Amino acid sequence: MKILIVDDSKAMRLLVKRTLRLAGFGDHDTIEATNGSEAIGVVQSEQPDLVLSDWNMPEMTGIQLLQSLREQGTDVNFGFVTTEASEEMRAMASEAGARFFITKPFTPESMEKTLTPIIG
Amino acid sequence: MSALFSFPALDDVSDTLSLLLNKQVSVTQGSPITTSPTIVGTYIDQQGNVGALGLVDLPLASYTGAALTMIPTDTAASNIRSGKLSDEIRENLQEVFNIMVAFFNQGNVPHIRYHQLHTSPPEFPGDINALLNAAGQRADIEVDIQGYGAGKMSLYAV
Repeated sequence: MKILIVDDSKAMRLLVKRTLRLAGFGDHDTIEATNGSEAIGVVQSEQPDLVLSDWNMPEMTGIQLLQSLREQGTDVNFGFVTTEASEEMRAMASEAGARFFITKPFTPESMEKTLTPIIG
Repeated sequence: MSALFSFPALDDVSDTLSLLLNKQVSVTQGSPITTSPTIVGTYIDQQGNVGALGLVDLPLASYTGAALTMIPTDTAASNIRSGKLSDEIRENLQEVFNIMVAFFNQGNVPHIRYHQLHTSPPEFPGDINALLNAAGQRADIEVDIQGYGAGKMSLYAV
């Protein structure tokens, strides 16, 4: 499985990769994008199976990225990994087609619990 | 910030930082930061007004930023000796401040998000100084990161 990690923070992209490995998903390929706008191109060229995206990013936010992908007819599995998790945001994300929210700081256990139904 | 705001318990601060840094982090009651340079992170509401501030001394800034991505302790110590954060540690510190927003977004207070870092010297912008002098609620804590070191943090609710 190919997993796209979208976050403007290099440290957070590293932490997500490390936690994926600790959660038992280390055998899957990971690719990265630094914002939503860049991620659009990466999704088109790399065809990932799963997108893990931050919410607040420059150029294009995570929710804008998701909405854009769905408008293009891309139904890639998509979830947010973010500090922001208000009820309003969760509702917005769900309506746009997000499958899950992982809140920061996250643990290998929380990541495993959330992603196992999707990655297997 | 609303008068309904209350700072998180020290154990909650410890748990959050320990999870984030993947290190044992102990948090105890502390005292105000008196050393220089100091680093302040601002948090803004939906209207762009500053709703909260997080202040750290240089040692804690360096240790926290280094611990996030396992930068060696020697590098963190070098930052402290030089009086300046490396670009990598500063970028990491921004992510720590981003996650620290959880300390403020509790209960029914207006939602805020992390905005940016300022270092003094050079002096903080005038509005930041004014807020530091007039902040409604404040907590001073001592944070000790296993394998790295300790420093001071102050949380201000405007």
